[in-house]
Amino acid sequence: MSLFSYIMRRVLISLLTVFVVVSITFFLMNLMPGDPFIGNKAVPKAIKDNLYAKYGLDKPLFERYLMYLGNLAKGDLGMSMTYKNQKVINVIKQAFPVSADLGIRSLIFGVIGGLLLGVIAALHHNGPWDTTATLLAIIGVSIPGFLIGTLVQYIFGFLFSNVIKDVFNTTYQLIPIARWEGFRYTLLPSFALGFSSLALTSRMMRTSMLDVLHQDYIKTAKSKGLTPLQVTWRHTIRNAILPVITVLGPMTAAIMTGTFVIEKIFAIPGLGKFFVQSVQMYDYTMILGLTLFFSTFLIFMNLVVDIAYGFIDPRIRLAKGKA
Amino acid sequence: MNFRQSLLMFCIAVAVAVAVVPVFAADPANLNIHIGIEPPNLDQHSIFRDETIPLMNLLFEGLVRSDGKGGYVPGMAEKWEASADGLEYTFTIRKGATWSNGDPVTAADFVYGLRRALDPATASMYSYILYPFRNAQAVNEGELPAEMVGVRAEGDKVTYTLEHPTSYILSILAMPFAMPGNRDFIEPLGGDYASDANLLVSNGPYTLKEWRHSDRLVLAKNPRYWNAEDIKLDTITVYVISDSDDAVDLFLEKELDLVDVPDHYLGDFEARGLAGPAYSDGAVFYLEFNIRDPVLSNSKIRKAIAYALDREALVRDVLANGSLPAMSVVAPSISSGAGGFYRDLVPQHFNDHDVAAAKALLAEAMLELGVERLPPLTLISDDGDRMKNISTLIQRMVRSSLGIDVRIQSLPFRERLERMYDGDFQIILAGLGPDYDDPMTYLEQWSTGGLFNFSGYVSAEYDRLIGLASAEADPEERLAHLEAAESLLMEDMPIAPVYFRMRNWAHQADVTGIVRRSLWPDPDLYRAEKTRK
Repeated sequence: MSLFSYIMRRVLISLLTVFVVVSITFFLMNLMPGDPFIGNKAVPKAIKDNLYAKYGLDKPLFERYLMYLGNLAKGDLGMSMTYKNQKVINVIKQAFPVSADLGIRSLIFGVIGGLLLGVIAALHHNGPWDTTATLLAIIGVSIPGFLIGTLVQYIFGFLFSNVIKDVFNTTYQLIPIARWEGFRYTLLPSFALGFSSLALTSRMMRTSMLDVLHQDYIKTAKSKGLTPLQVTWRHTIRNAILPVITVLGPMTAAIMTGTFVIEKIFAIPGLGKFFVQSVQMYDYTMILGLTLFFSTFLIFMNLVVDIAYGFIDPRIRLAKGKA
Repeated sequence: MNFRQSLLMFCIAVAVAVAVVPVFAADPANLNIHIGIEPPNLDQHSIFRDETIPLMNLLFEGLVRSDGKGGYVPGMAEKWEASADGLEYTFTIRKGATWSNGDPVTAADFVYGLRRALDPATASMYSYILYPFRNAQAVNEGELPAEMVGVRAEGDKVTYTLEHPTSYILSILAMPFAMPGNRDFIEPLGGDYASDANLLVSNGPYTLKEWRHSDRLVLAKNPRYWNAEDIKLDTITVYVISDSDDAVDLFLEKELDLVDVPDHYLGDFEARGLAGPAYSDGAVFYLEFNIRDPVLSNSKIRKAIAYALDREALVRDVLANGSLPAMSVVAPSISSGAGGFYRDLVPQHFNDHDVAAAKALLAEAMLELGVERLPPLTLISDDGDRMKNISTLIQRMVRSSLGIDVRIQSLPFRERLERMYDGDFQIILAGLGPDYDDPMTYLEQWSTGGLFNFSGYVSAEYDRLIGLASAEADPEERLAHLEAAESLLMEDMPIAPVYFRMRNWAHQADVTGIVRRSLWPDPDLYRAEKTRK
């Protein structure tokens, strides 16, 4: 079986998975007691009826389900019930690039930084570098992102800006603490969001490296006279990185589709808030659209990871040919 | 200092200057404000959230516009006249009234606008506010075709026919729902209308230049607006910021020019001399009793609780922001319909903290109910700090004055609303703001089938008084009916008023002309100006 047919099979299974996810979400969501059109004011029943009719909520559940699937087949995710004139697909199109932008920055910071830290820590096992890296990792794993976010906001928005104010007599913010305007604005949120990935990656990399370093083939590599760099690069990292690659799929999907807390703290117009808000507001079409989007993205990232295995470790053969 | 050192110093100086200069180059005529939600849409005829109304006031213009002092001045209409019986209003559209795409604003646009707002297919949330127009309710409920609503155009004149004489009709015509619609622009777009900057055509002092969803909207001065010379700002940037603490931070950094001050910041703002004068937003907060409850069905119990509250202490100790004790329903900022403010003409209906009267009523009620001791009552409130504090104080007051145990149940806002809408409560702490400038905006709510009548209150006499007031053309007579109705409501006490809310806000010192008021649009930025440095 070639790589192509392997991918095709995975895509078919993925489609089925997404279908099941959407169906379960549809019915679970409709079990929630609540009304998408509840506002600050009570409105007459006739107006409620008009709204229900406009969004097709006056029809029986199963008919709505079939209608939704029919529209889905045509690529139509429907209109949001909270953002009345917005198509769900447009909301995703507008907000996802922002979240993805922030997510990629955080991943670059978190994964590359984490790998570096992990490698350095392992190579200097029990030395001061190791202690520092482990300490950072523990901080990163145990302090949640919103606390780190608030902390850096305090440091840069208050302490640092007070220094600037004293020295230059201006309220100009070199590193702004909120909003999404340009490169300067991406620094703090990328740091806050990427910090836990950094911690996780470095811990995994360190453990995995230590494991590999005790293997016989490392001794062999050393004894056949390879330079330390060659040993580390070709034999240690390449073998140690696999567990990190495994978590990278779900991590990428989770970070790139937006995080509610970090985006809220830094006032970033990303996708994160819609996940929470759509459930709070009973925005049925939005809940379904986002579930569909997220599950597809997650499945896709996992597929990418599986394929990446094959390139990094030739021993892993995705397409099991006949022996 | 040698050459290399001076060069280094020069480079540092340039770098610092480049970093600092943007502050001093601030655009003098841009106002930065914020909105708590991403607007669901900016469709003038189907607004879903009050928060967007200040924007509608800038993007669109109705026949008349608030003058910022409680009256209405010509907008798209240059003049108007009412028929002697008060049932017909004819407006003449001003010459030069133009849409932002260059189309003229015509009388027919107003006819189309009203029909569209009432069309059941538009499913406008607030269309009930338009029910004073003839046949509007029947059209909205799908019983009559849209053409039957009481509006017609002849040349440059648009004439509205009303169900009853409606003294506050101008305050309704100034609202977005009654604004014109550019049919040729709207119809081809269908459901996409007003969902993006290029999908909107406006006729107000500003146009929508940019809409970065969930981030910001940029409004730019509309050069085609008939009164463009009185519009002092070039742009208004509206940031979408849902967290009110974030908004306060940005205000303190001078990145926002206007902010509502949350309770917990009020002291800080006052200490810094930043707090503007509090203003009444017209909301009355009250305890609504469920009359279907066996104990609360007794009006004397309800009155006992109403009389026992020490509102003076509550507004002083808990709210501490200028809010006023309410022993009536109609807020002080509402016009009487017969000249002046209603509350100035009609005094409040009972005494605050009248424990003796409350105890006497309770004793009578216990006899009538044939009980020695009342079972504990449950009070539902929102779970915000302010509402929790208020309900705790009410709990203490009712227990100490009357010996009645009150249990508090704090619920998230939407859940509290659902319990209220379902009538699933004993006592609920709720608030009501005005839709239009007339006592009726509060009083009609507790007639049979009234929108906010969740108490199950039914009184033929109350309905009669509301009916009389609705149909009465003479302002003095009408006022008498309204007063009688409010008085009866406070006699039967399906709701016990607690306080009239005041709100706190602040603006930067270089900003003037912002009007805060209890009616839409609040804030009114039509006359805002900014003079920087």
